Amino acid sequence: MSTLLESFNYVRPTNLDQLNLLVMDYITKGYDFTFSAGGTDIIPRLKKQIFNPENLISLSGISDLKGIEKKGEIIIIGALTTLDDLANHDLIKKYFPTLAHAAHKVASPQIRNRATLGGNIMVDNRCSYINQSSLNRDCHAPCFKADGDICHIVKRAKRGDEVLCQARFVSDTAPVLLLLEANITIMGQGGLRKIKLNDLYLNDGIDNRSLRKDELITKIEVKIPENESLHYEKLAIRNALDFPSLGVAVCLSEQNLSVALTGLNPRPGLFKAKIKNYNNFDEMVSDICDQALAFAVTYNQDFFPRAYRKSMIPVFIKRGISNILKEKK
Amino acid sequence: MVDLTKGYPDKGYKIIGKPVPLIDSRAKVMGQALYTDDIRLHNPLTIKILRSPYPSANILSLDTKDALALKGVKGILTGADFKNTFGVLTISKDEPAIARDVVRYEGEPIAAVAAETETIAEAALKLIKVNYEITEAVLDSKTALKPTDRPLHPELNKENNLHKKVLQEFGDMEQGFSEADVVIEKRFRFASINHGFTEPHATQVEIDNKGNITVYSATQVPHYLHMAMAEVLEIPEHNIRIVKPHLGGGFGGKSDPFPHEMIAAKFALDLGRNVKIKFTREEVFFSHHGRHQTDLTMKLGFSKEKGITALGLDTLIDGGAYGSFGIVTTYYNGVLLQGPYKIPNFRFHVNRMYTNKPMCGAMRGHGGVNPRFASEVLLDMACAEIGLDPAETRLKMIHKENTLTTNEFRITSVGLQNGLKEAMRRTKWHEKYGKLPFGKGIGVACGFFISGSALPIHWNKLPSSTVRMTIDHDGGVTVYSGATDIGQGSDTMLAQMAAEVLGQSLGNIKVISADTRITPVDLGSYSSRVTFMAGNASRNAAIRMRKILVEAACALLDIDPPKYEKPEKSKDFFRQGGLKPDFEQGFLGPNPDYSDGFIFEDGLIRSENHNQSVTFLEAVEKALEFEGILQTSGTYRAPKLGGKFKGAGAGLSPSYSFTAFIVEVTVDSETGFIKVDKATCAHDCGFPLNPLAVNGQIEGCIHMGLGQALMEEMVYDNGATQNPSFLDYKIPSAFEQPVVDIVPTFSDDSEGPFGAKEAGEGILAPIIPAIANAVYDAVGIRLTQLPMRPDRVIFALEKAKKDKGATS
Repeated sequence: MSTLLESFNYVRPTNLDQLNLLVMDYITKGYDFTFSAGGTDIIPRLKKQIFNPENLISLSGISDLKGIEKKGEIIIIGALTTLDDLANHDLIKKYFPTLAHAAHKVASPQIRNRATLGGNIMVDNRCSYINQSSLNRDCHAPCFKADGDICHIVKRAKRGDEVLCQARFVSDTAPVLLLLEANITIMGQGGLRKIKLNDLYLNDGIDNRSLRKDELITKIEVKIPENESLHYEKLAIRNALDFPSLGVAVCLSEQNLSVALTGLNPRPGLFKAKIKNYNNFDEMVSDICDQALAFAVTYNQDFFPRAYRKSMIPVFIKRGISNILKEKK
Repeated sequence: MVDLTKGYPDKGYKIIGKPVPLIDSRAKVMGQALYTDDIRLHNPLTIKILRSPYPSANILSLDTKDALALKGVKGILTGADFKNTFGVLTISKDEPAIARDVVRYEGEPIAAVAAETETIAEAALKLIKVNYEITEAVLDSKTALKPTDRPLHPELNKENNLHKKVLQEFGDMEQGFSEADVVIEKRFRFASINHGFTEPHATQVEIDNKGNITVYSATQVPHYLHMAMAEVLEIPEHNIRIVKPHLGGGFGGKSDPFPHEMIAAKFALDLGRNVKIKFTREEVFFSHHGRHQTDLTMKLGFSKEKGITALGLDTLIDGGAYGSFGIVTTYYNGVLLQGPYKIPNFRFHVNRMYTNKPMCGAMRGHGGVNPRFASEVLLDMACAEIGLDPAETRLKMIHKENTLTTNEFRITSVGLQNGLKEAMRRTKWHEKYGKLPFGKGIGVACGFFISGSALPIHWNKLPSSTVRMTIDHDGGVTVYSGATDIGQGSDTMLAQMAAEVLGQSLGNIKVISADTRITPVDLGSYSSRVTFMAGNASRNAAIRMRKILVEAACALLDIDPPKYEKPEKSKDFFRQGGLKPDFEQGFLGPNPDYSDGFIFEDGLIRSENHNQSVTFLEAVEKALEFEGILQTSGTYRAPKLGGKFKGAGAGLSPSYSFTAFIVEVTVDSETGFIKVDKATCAHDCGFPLNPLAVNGQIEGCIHMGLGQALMEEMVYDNGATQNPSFLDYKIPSAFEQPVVDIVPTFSDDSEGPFGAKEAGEGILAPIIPAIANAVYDAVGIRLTQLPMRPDRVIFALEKAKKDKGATS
């Protein structure tokens, strides 16, 4: 309802040392804080008072976290590289055209000019009940994600359930990066650690990332594919300014077929199959579709009804494969 | 550059009919135009509204003590502070400025705070304690039909939540259906949609030391706001001045007086301080006033020889919590079907229901859009069943010029036939219809709309529009009009009228509009009335001015001034315009012929007979010698129209526009996505005064129609608006806009100013059924629910497959 942000303390360190000192200081003092990269996901949530941090640490001044470089067969992408820079970078267009495409499918030019790759893989899970104005949230009882005791889309849900909150994972770039087996470097008070991107994601709409409060992603590393071909297709009612109602990335190599899903469950889906024999390729495709369908948990928390979104999974997987095969010819 | 005048007759005008950019466009694109919220008043208080989180509740108690005690809070208003309710229609003034005792929709104002800053005002809202008793909400129009002890509006003394019922029948329905070769009946459903204008509601109020207020507001209807505000605040109208600054889109969504306008004015009066309020986008959605959610069943009788033999419909529209324009909407759901084809036997029954949702009201194409979809789809079905070409069939059925419809609408000019024929030629209709591969389709639909409501909302004998015109000492012309430019370009149109009649460049005309202290009354921007009515008024003011200048020129040239004889009254009911101006009457007549033997051009006024001239400025100076001031007025009055039956006034207009669309689509049968590839539009707006502006309206109508057709809908859960943002309320992006081909289409309207009719609303309705009919041509399914979302396409495709399997 508000046009104003609640007040908070805004800090903008300009290098990694300053940042580390600041975080250490906040932790020692027990301050509440959160990081902001491009701000395009956080600012709307602040405005809607979905969360109100005491301190907002902007990462936008840290130039070390920007840029794309090639080291041998690895492309290293700074986490603060904007989606626009990513989509238009020669290295990305050359080696990862599907990643450029997925980045280009995010939101609008204005948002892509600010939003970062790190931000997009960290974008908070969404649900039509939590991502609302405070007035709308007042109209319904507070849900689990708003520290309440009810889920409006899974009415029977209760605390202690394995998956408490069904807020959806909505990153467009993550499914492509998952198929490229991207690694991410995480910086925290304990130093640096490197994990597979897939290990970042947890299957709950509230606690949906495996990062500690003090941790942030500094870079994304992707190996240049040898013979893999990828395709990403996004389901959204319009061609701009939408989160994916469903996103399907497909990767086909001579040995493997893999699929990653976004826009459905609290975490992205990732399925792989070894191609042993091209004669039963169709069978394998239908097998991977079955896996995806078994994984997909859809609820009516999106523009499209759940049944439709689910029914589009095999359609998109098959389209992805046939597009790749078409391009190969 | 494309020559936009190509295809239209050359009538020898200098400014009229030429593509001219809107006179305020440069200021707008440069960011210099001031919208309501851009105005900087001295030290204003900021107003924030506390809104109900419940759709239906009783307010048991309301405690504002703590909020008032907050430093910087200057005042708080609640329902108890307003005695009178209001509404745009005199017959349904049912809306309070702030809910009093009863809450009727989620988002309804419960209290308002005026404070030194927005932050303080927001903090104060949180300190207001409201004790609600939640009551059972009526959430859909079907439930609203059921008897209840607790109707939303007990003052109506009804046993259910019916707001307005209209039933009209013309001819003999049974006879009509018996003459038909095919009778088709189908049920249709339409989601409620929002206008989606760019500028959120905003109001600022300035108060002087005598208690006079100037209300700057984003409104389409300064005059109605003026009257409603005087009534609600119980002060004389002359203490209130309404000013409409630049406005960022209306589409009917700013055509009511609004609670926040009453609240702001009341605060200014009570506190003696300037105040301001602006809505967030969410508040815009909460207050809504959009197109009604509609359930309708329509039955069409169609004969191969006679065309439509009968059309009947039963309609239920969900009005939400208050009346707004709803009574008009109720009528328009029926009467706007009276064109573009003759319907000999016609019956409609529409119920508007009150429910615990944000109110619905007027929106572009008002009331006519949803039934138009149904009738054009049914007509397409009838053609398919009989094996007729749907475009050729329509072409034959379009009203001839100068006829009366079954419900006694006077149809004067009709130019659609040529436009539709040209659209068919351009699209290669005959080569494509029924012949494209599966997934590709072409469809046609037509529409029709009023060029202004002939009758005023508040019954009175005043002209529909009055324009004042002055000329300065240096020859600069100023047009003063109450007409409300809401982005559609009415200021430019008014200037074009004056420029053409007085032989001036557009740059020499200044327009001051929509300021109730300075400008004469115009009823506002709704029902596509402004060009026809205010345009005629501006033209007439200029003609009176021209007479003064001609007489001054004659005095200078020492020749006899032309004799202005009283014209003979037209005996032709269908052609009352284009006569000589009647200078003895206040109203010169519609679109009078002002030729007077003089030519105004190149800064000169020249007598054709004497081949002598004076400069425009010399004539101005001479005229000023007589009066000391050069000032005229011009008016417009609609002719006497309509039948004698109850409700005969609804839909009466001095003229009607006609539209045809041919739309080409690609349907993805696996995902259900409809892609509109191309829209070819033929719109008969009489003679287009400014083809650039007309084309802009056509392109905008296509985009807006696309939204309702494919994706827009208000989503409610238990009365709560679930998509109150432009992220979640889906308006098409630029990517979805099809290739647009505009077919020059025109007619000779004797009464429209320079022959013009409306071009703002009628275009919207037929694009939607044209898409649906193209989808049928592409994949063989009939969609009967809007929006035509991909999942509905898939559902219909699967059903069609099943049905086919069952029959084969």
